[in-house]
Order: sequence, then C-alpha cells, then structure tokens
Amino acid sequence: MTNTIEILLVDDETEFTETLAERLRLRSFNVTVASRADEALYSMDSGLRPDVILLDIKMPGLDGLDALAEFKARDSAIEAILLTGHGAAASSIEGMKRGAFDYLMKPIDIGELIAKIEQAAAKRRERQELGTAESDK
Amino acid sequence: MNDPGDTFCQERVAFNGRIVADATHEIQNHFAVIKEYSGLMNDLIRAPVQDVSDGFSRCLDITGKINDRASRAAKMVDVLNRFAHRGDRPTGRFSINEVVEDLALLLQRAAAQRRILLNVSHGRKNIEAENDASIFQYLLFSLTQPLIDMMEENGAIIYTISRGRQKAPMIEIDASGIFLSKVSIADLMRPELLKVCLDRLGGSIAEDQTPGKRFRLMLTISSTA
Repeated sequence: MTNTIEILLVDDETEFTETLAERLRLRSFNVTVASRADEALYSMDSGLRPDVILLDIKMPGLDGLDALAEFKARDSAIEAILLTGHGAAASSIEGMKRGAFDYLMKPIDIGELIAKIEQAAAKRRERQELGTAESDK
Repeated sequence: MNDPGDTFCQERVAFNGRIVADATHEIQNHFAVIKEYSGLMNDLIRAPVQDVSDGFSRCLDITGKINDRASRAAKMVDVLNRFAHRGDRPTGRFSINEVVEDLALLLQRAAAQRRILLNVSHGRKNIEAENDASIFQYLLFSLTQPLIDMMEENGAIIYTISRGRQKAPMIEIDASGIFLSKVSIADLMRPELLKVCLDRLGGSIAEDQTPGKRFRLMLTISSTA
C-alpha cells in the first residue's frame, strides 16, 4: 500500500525524532521533523501542509499545548497526536480539550501510532471534503 | 499562618517529588529512544536486502547508540538512588563533589528545557564534609531551580567547589546570561526556609551581582555538623 500521508514530527529529543521518522518513512509516510515548535511553525509558514502533526508536549520554548493552537490557527483541519511521557495525563487531557485528535504515551508502539495516524488523516480528509462541499453549496 | 517547620517539611516533600518526576521522565526518554532504535533494527533486518555490508554497518551503529542510551539511563538510576539514600541518616560524611555533580545531572532536564548550560567545575581534589547531605542537596536545588526559571535562553550556571575560610567547603553558583527580572537571594528562596537550612548546615551565604547579566552565590557549609 502506498501512503501519501504527510506527517510533521515535533520533538526536542532528536535521536527519537530521527529514528521514528526513519521507521515511518520505511512505511511510506512522508515525514518532516522539527526539534522545536517555532521551527515547525516556520515550516508551515513556508508552505508545508502536513495532514497529521505528532507533537511532544514538553519542549523548550513554546510547549506542545500552546503550539497546538498556533498549528490550528494556520490550518484548522490539521490533526495532532500528542506524544507524552508518563505522569503527563493531565496535559494530554488538556490537549484533547484544545482540539488534539489523540495522545500516546512514550515509549510508543509503532503499530498503535500508525493506526492513530491513519485515523487522524481520515478525519482530516472528511473535514476537508465537508469543507469543500459546504463551499460548493 | 503555617508553622515554618511544617512549611519546611512540605517544601522538602515537594522537592523530592520534583526530582523524582524529572528523573523518571528522563529515564523514560532514554527507554523511548532505545525502543525506537530496536524497532528500527527490526525494520532493517526485515527489509529487502540491498547491501548486506551496509546493513551490518548500520546495525553496529545502532547497537552503539542503544548501548550509550542504556548507560545514560543506568547512570540516572544510580544518581536517583544516591539522592534517595542521602536522607537515610541526619548527618554523615559525604562528598560535596558527588552531591553537586548528582544534583547538576538531576537538574539537567529543567535546564535543557530552558536551554541553560548547567555545569560543575572543580579541581581534582574531592572535598568532603560531615554534615546533612539531604539538607545540602535541598538547599542547592532551592537556590538553583528558580535561577533557571529566571534566566533567558542560552544562559549558563556553573557550580564551583572549593574550600573557604578554615577549610570549610564552599560552593559558588555562578549564573551568567540575561535575567528576566531582578534577582536576590530572597527571590530564590523564602528567608525563613533558607535560615533553617543554613542553621542545620552551620552555613552562610553571600551574593554578588552585575545587574541583569550575572548573579553569584557563595554558599559555605560547616565541615562538621
């Protein structure tokens, strides 16, 4: 199966992002990585339009929860999956309230992550199609 | 109003919680990276073979990285274990160098989140004290953590260990960078808590600063409690 899902992976742990990105690329996802939220926002301002953002909550500078609002402001249909350490359940729930699609605890199970990415991308497509249909009326 | 003794106990419990939470988060980060590396090796082994020698070389590289991460996780566990055991006895002989180095490692995550360099500088000589190591590490944390929060990114905090008057152990905390607000000892730690710590450690503290750019603390504790 060929995946054309565009992923933006944002985490300050670079060994984690580089390795996870390689594993996702081996599964035919298109992955862009950023080590800070402001770097990811710059990529979007430069034209990158990911379907799904994988977003660490605790990062230097702008944290994941505040960054989520910025991503949504640039693309309201974008879906975000939060990546959190243990003990950060409260932050994850807050992230869901702020519009995140879902969250996963690290260490991540790749099968579970891919299932969530595909669900999130499907939801984004639905929202985009709905938006197109509404504007055609 | 809370009794200062109660407040002191509450603050120390909160301190222990903060250290354990940050350290376990760091350990879990290492495990998350190790899991991704092992998953990547699995992916590479299962992938269609293109060049066997390239595959071996890549796997060797990855096992080296897994080894490094496992070592760092094990070191953090050691440090956390020593940190926990410092409260076993009210006083005892301990290495100032070791406590400062351990605390610097335990605070690395908080410092890295704000892109602050946190280092220890000391000579080759190990400086020891017969004192309360648990209070000493609590005091160092209480003075350092707010400093980290009060600095802009790319600052530095350096601990220097030496001997002061009458060979009493002296720890200088030298913070340089740009500060978000004016700093004084009272901004870092509540005076009544600082007094309890200094009384128990037979210590004293002095400050020196270049406003907005540099703030230094000179903490001296008694060699014998």
